[in-house]
Amino acid sequence: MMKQTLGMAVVAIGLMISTTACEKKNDATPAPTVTTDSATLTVSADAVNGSYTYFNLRTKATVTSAQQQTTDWDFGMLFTNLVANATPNGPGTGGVQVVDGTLAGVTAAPESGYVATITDYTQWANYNGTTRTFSPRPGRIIVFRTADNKYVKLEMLAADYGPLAGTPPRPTTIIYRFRYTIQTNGTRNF
Amino acid sequence: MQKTIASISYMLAILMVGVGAMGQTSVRNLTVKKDTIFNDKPEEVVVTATRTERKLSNVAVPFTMITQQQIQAAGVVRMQELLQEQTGLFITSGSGTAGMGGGVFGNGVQIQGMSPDYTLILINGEPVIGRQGGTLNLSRFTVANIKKVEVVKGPSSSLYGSEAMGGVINIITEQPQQNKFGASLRMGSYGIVDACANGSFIGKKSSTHVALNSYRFGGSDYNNNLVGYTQDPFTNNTAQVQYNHLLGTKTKLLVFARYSYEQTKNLFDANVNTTAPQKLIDGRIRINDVNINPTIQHRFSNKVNTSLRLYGTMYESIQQLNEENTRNTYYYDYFKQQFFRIENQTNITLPANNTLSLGGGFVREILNTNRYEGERTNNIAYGFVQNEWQPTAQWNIIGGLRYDANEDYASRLSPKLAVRYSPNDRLKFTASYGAGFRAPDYRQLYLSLVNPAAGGYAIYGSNEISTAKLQALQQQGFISTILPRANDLKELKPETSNGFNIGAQYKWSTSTTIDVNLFNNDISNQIIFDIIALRGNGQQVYSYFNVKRSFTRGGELNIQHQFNSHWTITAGYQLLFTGDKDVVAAIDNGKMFGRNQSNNEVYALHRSDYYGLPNRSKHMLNVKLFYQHQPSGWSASVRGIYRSRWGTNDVDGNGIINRTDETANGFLQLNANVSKDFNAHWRVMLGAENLLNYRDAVNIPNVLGINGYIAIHYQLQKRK
Repeated sequence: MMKQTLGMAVVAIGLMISTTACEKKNDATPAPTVTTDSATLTVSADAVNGSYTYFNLRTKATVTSAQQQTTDWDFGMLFTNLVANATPNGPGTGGVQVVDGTLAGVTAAPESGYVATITDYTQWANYNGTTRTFSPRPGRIIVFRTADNKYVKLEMLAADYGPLAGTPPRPTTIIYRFRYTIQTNGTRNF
Repeated sequence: MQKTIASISYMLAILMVGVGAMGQTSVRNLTVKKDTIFNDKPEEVVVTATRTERKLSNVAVPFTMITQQQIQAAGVVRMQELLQEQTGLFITSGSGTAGMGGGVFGNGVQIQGMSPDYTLILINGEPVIGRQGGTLNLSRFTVANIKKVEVVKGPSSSLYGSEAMGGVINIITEQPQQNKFGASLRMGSYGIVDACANGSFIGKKSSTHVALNSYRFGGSDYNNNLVGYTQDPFTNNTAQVQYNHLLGTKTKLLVFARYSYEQTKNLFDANVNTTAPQKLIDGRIRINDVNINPTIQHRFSNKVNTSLRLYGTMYESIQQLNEENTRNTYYYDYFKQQFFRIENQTNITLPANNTLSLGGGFVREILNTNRYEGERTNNIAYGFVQNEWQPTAQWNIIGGLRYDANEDYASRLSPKLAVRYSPNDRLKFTASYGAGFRAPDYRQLYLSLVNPAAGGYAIYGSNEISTAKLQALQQQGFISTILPRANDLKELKPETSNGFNIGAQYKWSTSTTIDVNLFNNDISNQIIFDIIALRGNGQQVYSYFNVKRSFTRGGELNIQHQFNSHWTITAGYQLLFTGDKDVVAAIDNGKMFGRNQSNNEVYALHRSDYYGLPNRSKHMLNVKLFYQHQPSGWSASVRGIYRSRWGTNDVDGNGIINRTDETANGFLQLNANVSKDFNAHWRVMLGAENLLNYRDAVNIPNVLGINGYIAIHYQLQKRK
C-alpha cells in the first residue's frame, strides 16, 4: 500500500513535470498507469503429468485451464516452465524474455526479443545439485508482454518447495513469490 | 600460443648462453663450489625442485621441506595433520570441481590457493593415483618412516607433467643406512591407535629397510540426532620395503614397494531428508593400494649418470552398501585404476657449470569400473630437458621444457625458467616462471551416467556426447530442451596454469631467517560441468567444458628465530586473493547481482562484495614454539594454526560467494605436546590437539574436537 502510494506520487510528479514542459494545463489528475505489487503463485512441480497454472497480474487471480483460450491471463507456469499468452499457449499477442538488472533498474521493456515459452529456467534460476536447492537468480528480471499488449517487469523473489513426498525428496508443488510492475498505458516505459 | 613461443625461445636462449660459455670456461677453469651431496659442509639436499640432488640454499623455486625431526616434534601421524601446520598449505575436505560445498572425497591440499585437483602427490618421485572426485585423500598416508616431505609451490609440469599445476608434494621414505630397529605405539581419543615398527638390515652389498604401520580411527560424531558419523571410522595398514643392492661400483639397484589396505565403515539413514521412516544403510569401502618401483642407477663417469625407473601402481576401491533390514544391495561401486611407467633420466655435467638433464618415458593407464562401460586405457609419451647453469657461485639459472603427447586429449608443452641470485651468504633472491597442466580426468572424458535415484539427471563425458547425439536423444523423448551451451561441445583440452614467483631470503643472523615469496597464478581452460539440455521433468543433462578462468595471487612470509639452544619459534603467514576472472568481469560490467542478506533486496555487486573462489581463506597464520633440553631429555611444542573466513556455498542464487552466510567462520587450532627421552632407547610423548575444541561439523567435518594422546617410542640401534 505504501509502495503503491509512493508510486502514485512519483507518477503524479512525473506528470506534473511533463505537463509543465508541454505547457498544457489539465484540470483533472489522470489515473496512474504504473502499479507495483507482489504475489504468490503455487504451481505443480510435476512437469510430466501436471498442468499449467495461469495467472492474471491485474486481478491477482489464477485462471482455470478451461479459460486457457482467453485473454484473461497474463502468464502461466508449470514446474519451472514459463509461458506467455501467445500462440500456441493462448489467443493473445503476449511474449516473455529475461533481462539483466534490478526491478527498479529496468526502466523500459525491450522492444523485441519476446518468445511464447521459456523452458530453460537457467535464464532466471539456479539449481544447486549438491544442496538440491532451486533459487531465482538475483539480477534477472522477467519481462512480459500481456495478451492485450501491456508490459510487465517481474522479479522472482523465492521458489519454495511444497510438501515433500517419496525418496529422494521431490516436491509436489513449487510456491513462487514475486513482485512486479505493470504499465497499463501501452508504452514500454515503467 | 605466442606466450609459449616466447617462453621457449627464452629458454633456448638460456641453454645457448650456457653452452656458449662452455668453451671459454674450460680454459678459465672457474673454481665454483660443486653443488652435490658430496659437499664437505653437511646441508639439506633436496631433489624435487630440479629432479637432481641440490642443496636447499641453491633452490630457485618456492620450496618447503619438512624434516623427520619436525615430524617427530609435532607428534602427528597422518599426512594431512602434518601438512596443515605448514604455511600456505590448506587442507580442505571440498573438491574444487565437485561442487562448492564440503566434499565427500577426503582431505586434499591446496597450494598457493590452487585446488587439491591441481596438486601432484609423489612417493619417492613417483605419482600416487586413486583420486576421488579429483581429490587425493591424504589420510591414506602415514608419516611414519618418512625421511622428509618436499613441497614445491607453483606450477611444475615442466618436470612432472599432468597434475603439477599448483605444486608438487614429494613424500620421501626412509633409506636403509645402519642396522636398527624401532617401534612405536600411540593411543588417543576418538579411538585413534597408531602402531609402527621398522627395521634396517645392512649387508655387504645389499641393504633393506622394512616399515609397518597400522592406524585405526574410531570415527567422530558431532550430531547425535543423525544416524551415523560426522567422520567415518576407518583402519589403514601399510607395509613398505626399500631394498638397495650394489651391482658393481658404478651401478645400484633400488627397489621400493608399498602395500596399503584401508577399510572405512559407512552407516547412514537414506531417508534423512524426507518424512519417510528411517531406512538404515550400512556397509564399507575397501581400498587396496600397491606401488612397486625398481630403479637402476648407473654412473658412467663423474660427469654422467643415468637412472632407469620402472613404476607400477594399482588403486582399487570397492564400496558395498546394504539396506540394514533386508540386506539387499543399496549401492555398489567398483573402481580400479592401474598406472605403469618406464622412464629414463640422464644427468650430464657439462663445462662451465652446466648440468643438463634429459629424460623421457611412457605411461599406460588402465581403468576398470562399473561407472563406465568396458575398460578405459590411455597412453602417454613424454620427454623433458632441463639445463641448470651456474656461471658463478652467486647465480644459477635453470631452463626446462617438457612435452606430453596423449592419446585421448590435446598434447601439452610446459616450459619453466628459474633464477637465483645470492649477492652474499646471507641474502638470496629468486624469481621463477612455470607452466602447469592437468589432463581431463576419466569422468570428464568418459562418464555416461543417468542417475535414476536422484530424479534422473544425466552427465556425459565430452567423448560420450555431441550435438548430434543430443538431437537423437531429443527425438527419443529423453530430453525436451537443448540449451545454447550445447553448441560449445568439443574435445576437452587440459587445464593450464602459468605461475610467477618472486622471493627473497635473508639470514639476519645465525639464529634468525626471514623468507618472503610473492606469487601470481593464472589458471585457464578450467573444466566445469554445465547444463547442456533439460529433460521433460526438469532434470538437467550435463557435460564438461573448458571455460573457466581464475587467478590466485598473494604472498607468503616465514620467519624462524632461535632464542637459545632450548627455544625456537617459527611463524608463517599467507595472504591470498582468488577469483573467477569471468565473475570479476561481470561485476565490473554491472552484470552480477546479489541479494541482501537482511532485506532480500537485489543489488549490483562490487568487487569488494566478492569473496573469491570457494574454500579459500584470505589469511592463514601459523606460529610454532619448540622447546628442547638435551641433558634432561625433555622437549615440548605448542603450535597454533589460524585460518580466516572462507566461502562454502552459494545461498542467494548467483552462483558466487558474496554474503557472510555463504562462508564459514575462521578458526584457531592449538596443538601441544611434551616428551621425554628416558635413555637412548625409550621416549614417551603426551600431547593434545585442538585444545580450544573448535568444531564445525558442517564446514570442517575433518577437524576433530579436542583430543589427547600418549605415544611410546622404542629405538634399538646397533653400531658397527
